[in-house]
Amino acid sequence: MPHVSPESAISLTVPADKSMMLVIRLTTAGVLARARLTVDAIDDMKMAVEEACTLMISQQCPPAALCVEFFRKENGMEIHIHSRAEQPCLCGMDAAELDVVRAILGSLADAAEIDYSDGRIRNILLTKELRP
Amino acid sequence: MRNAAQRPSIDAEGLLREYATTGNTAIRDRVVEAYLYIASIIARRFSGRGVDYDDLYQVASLSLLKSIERFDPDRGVKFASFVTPTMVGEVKNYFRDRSRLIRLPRRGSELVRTVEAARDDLQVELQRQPTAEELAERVGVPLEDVLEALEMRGAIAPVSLDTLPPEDDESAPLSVFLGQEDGGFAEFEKNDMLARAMQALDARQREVIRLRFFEGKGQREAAQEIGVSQMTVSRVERQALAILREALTEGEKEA
Repeated sequence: MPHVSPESAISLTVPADKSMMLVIRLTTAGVLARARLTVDAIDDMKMAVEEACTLMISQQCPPAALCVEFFRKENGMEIHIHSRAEQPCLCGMDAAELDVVRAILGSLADAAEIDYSDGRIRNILLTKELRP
Repeated sequence: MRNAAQRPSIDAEGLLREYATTGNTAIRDRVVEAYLYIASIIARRFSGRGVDYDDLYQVASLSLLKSIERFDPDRGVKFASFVTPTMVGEVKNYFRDRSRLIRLPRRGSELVRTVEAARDDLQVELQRQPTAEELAERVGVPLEDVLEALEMRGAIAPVSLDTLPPEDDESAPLSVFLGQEDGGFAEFEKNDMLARAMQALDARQREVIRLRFFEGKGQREAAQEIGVSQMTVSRVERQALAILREALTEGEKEA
């Protein structure tokens, strides 16, 4: 169940399984609709979040759970996708493919950062600007 | 298929500058071969959502060709940075256009249609995409229903051709109802009948057919280009196809 933290974040933790994608997409749509994003922007961000989650799941050694967190910022929305694990498993993905995935995410969201070091993905940050 | 690890070591910008000047297709082909790996990665990443890898690879590859034609090397943008978002955009449009072909349960289908119509109307009125809240207010349903409808519209869950339609008395699988390719079209083209049939269309119908079937654009893209709603494109396209079908059938009889 999503819960509102004291920092007004919305956090969703689900088993790292493809069958959870509908839950993740609908939650993303709900949160972004509340932020008054246009329907096209919501469509794109649903796809971006799904892609980020798919990246986490398709690692060499997938995590047990996925955590998607939504933070409302002054001028936008930040979405963090991570596994909650202190020491994430090895990604095992080719660097060129990771570059393309980064570009895919960047073309769906306003900005995308993959926190990747030592062959491990620690966090994926998607940013969507909210225009007045 | 190129291994993703084998990144292109070519000077794409330089080659494309040369291609723009000389029109030498061998140069273009070198760039295509070097960057097809991006198409394969995109196709692989977006497959498994109801669309086959091969279809997505084809869409992304065509987009690569279009990108090469549109790329301006003097703008200071790297070709790799230009081509990936373009391919993703084409794949997104493909998903959106394709999702319109999926038959939904009647209740959902009606809501999706209503939401889509309201979306087109609001886009014209507001001169921008509406928010989900604005859509809910216009349609008069809760926000949750609008989000559900948007999700259903994008939900791609094709039915197996072996499925038995519930309303079918004969219990024949869906594949039985599939049309067959009309072999007569090749002959029509040879006889230039299609060109003549096109004369039966008015200017707007011709424009829609040109954009949709000669330039391969999606309904949304065509609508934006003409400056009308997507529903209008859909309606005009339907009318135009009916006219063409009739004209070509008559032509076939005469032939």
